[in-house]
Amino acid sequence: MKGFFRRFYIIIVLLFLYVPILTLIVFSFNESRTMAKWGGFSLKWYGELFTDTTILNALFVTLSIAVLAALISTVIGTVAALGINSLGKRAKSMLIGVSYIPMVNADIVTGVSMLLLFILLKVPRGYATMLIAHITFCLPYTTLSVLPRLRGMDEALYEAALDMGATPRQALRKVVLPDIMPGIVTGFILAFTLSFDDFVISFFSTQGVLPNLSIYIYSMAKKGIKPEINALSAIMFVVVITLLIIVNKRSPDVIATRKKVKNRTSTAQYEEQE
Amino acid sequence: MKNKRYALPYVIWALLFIIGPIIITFFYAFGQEHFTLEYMAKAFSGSYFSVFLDSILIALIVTVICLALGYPAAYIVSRMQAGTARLAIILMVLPMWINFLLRTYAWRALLDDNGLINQLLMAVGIPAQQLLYTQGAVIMGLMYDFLPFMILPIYTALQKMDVSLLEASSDLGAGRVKTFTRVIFPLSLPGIISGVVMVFMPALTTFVVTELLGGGKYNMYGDLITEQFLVTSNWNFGSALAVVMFLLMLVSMVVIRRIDKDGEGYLL
Amino acid sequence: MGIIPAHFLKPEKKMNKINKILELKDISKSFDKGEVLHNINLYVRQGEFLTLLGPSGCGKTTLLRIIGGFETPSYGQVYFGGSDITALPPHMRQVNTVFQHFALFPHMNVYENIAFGLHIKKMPKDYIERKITDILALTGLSGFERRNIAKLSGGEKQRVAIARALVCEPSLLLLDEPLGALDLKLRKSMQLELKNMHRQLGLTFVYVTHDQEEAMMLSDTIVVMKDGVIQHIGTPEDIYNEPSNAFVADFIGESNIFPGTYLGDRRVSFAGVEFPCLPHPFAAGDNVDVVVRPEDIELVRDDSHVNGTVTSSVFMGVHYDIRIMDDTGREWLVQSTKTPGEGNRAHLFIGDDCIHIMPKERV
Repeated sequence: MKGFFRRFYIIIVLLFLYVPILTLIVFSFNESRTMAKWGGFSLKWYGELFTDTTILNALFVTLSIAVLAALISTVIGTVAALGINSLGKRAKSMLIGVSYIPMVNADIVTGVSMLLLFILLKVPRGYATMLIAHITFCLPYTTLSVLPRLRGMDEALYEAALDMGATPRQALRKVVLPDIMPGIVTGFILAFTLSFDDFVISFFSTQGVLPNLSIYIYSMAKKGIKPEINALSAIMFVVVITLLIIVNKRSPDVIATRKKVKNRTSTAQYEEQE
Repeated sequence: MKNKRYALPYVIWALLFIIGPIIITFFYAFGQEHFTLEYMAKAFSGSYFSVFLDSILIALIVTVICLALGYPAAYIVSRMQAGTARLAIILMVLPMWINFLLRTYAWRALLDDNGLINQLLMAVGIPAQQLLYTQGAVIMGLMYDFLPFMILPIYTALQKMDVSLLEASSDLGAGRVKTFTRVIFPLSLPGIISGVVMVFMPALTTFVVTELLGGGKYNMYGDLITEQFLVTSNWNFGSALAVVMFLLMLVSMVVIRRIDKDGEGYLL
Repeated sequence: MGIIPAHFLKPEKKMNKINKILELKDISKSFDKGEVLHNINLYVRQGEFLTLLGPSGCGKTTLLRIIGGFETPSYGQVYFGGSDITALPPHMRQVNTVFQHFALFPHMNVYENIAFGLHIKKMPKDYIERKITDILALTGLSGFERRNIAKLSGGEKQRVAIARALVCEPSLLLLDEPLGALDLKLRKSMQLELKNMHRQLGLTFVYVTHDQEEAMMLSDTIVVMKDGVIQHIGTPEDIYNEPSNAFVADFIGESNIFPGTYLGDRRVSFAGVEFPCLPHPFAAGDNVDVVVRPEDIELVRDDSHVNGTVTSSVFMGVHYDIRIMDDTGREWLVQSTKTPGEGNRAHLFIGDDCIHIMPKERV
């Protein structure tokens, strides 16, 4: 009896979470423009989607920024983790503390403060500012993904490599890097998803001048229903599900990745470990 | 490997793009070269302050609803069989990966005068309600966006719980209810705190949801800030508002560290 | 140890020979991976210290959990004080458990942990305070009330776990390998304390361990288990001197175990030699297992039963552990205060009362 109520509740919650999304998807196949009445099955909005250059441009911006930001922040972050790990206690916790700021800060505050910076430095708002902003908010995540793996690593491995004749560079490449790779990969995925999904920071750091996908959806949504967006939602949904399934098959705790994404109170784990 | 200099690029970047902007924001908030408190004062004055309070109220309501709905969900899933639990959690996590603008946009369609919800109501005989562009719509939208963020940390905290603690509680004479109130709930507190923080702060500073679902009628704090920067170019005042948010964030971090002394939290 | 307040001492300190506080009838338990307990029948007497002893995986912990109510048997009944409690949930049983990894509540301090059960029973505040002060004294933890659980040492945590279970005054206390996480010296001193506690409180203890020395030292009765089946129930002396089969003989103490044949007429043949022995309830020609304790073998100059060469001789502090390869190629272990020395000849004499003969099948 109790089991029934429990399942029932979960199903209700899941329904609540999915009905809006599924409605979007269903109506992406709607012949007519509205989401109020079903006018028949049609794929025309998908066609419109693929020919709409504005959307495609926005998609390009989002994708390219996500890839670049993820790459760059992963590189800087990994190197930073290596450096931070070698620092003394004080410097270490200070740097980690600073890393927390973009994570814990409200998006809007981060976005606004970056805008002010760009205005002050007279940097024209556009692709470059968006990229810089994205790298900035991704860096803490990439760094803090690698750091624990670095700490958990047995230093003897590195020393053994040196002992056997490897130069520090080689030892780094052949021994350390492979060992911390899961952290690097997690960081990269984290950064990519964060960047891909971002709206507020992108919006402010470009003053709305350069549309990425999120900004585009925002501007369109303000105007009302646009079925191309429904079609876009359907595609994104399918992509996300597929990705999740693949990722889940490969390593079940990358699901946790997304949890980490939004956890800004990744509290004292580092502090306490000092 | 032990090379401190590796940290240098990061330090430079942090100084330039993390610390720098914050300093600049404070700079603007206090009047740039001509130090003044007028902008900060304005942030706490009259209608602006009431917007601040309203935002806090709404954020609180949203947080409480998410907690009330999310805790049972997390609890039930944590008690499920491993395979089913995994599936349930993945399903609950999935919406988080869908662009939140899209999710908000979905509600717009549903809440519309001719939207599905109204159609359902009319089919049952209830006249069409004004659902969109109400404060209720904003709350609903926020709650929808943030529910998964409340469920996850609570679920994680519950799941990590040592089964032997529950057995010990039972062994010492506590039935199900008492075991819940005295053992399970207190131990899930770090998860609750995480969830609350992940919902409250973003809800407080949202501006998208208010615009899309509230029709720009209900100003929340985020709208105010946006207005200063993108409409009226009142950078000083906008910075003051941002500084208030920033300080609020700092305070809540300190408070949380106090409550959650062991840093159990729900960790990265 | 602390002072024992009068109201803690039970007048009945001797074991009540008739009163069975716990009885397990035909208990079997299967999990997905297979049958873990098979046809367990045993009883525990009021006031007794009974130990379930066996190697990992023998089912002893599962059995304990069935007594505690954390598992239900697939078959069979559990009787407590005469009533069938098989289906009764743990929180309604008059039984308390000391868990292997302590299971102390991390969000409560020492006082709150120990008081937990009493709070559940809604005992008045001053009663609780009194009881806790007493139990802290009993377990050597006076002054620890406000301490943080996480900052306690292993031994201290152990005592808190024991205190928490004892303060509820259960009729039966279950202990699941409670000393496993402690270092050797601490373990030995805790063993002594547990034994004393048991004597002074007059409670019934059911204890689980894989350490046979611990079992021997603590128990009134030992139940030896293997693969979910009881091998032998008896006192420590009983089990040591007259193990029911080769497994028990080997598990308890060092021994020399050989297959043999009972010849009847006070004679048994094993290790290629005929030995005089005491009468045993076997028929002539029966295949048997024979156990001879190392300390029972005498090293003599002549008139020996077995001859061989010393392959190793290690001084263990009190005696020598001497390994001898006899002329038939079999290895013997002898414990003696003197040693012939490695590489030298040795002559073994085994008295007829030192040969213990056991049936070949499992009991």
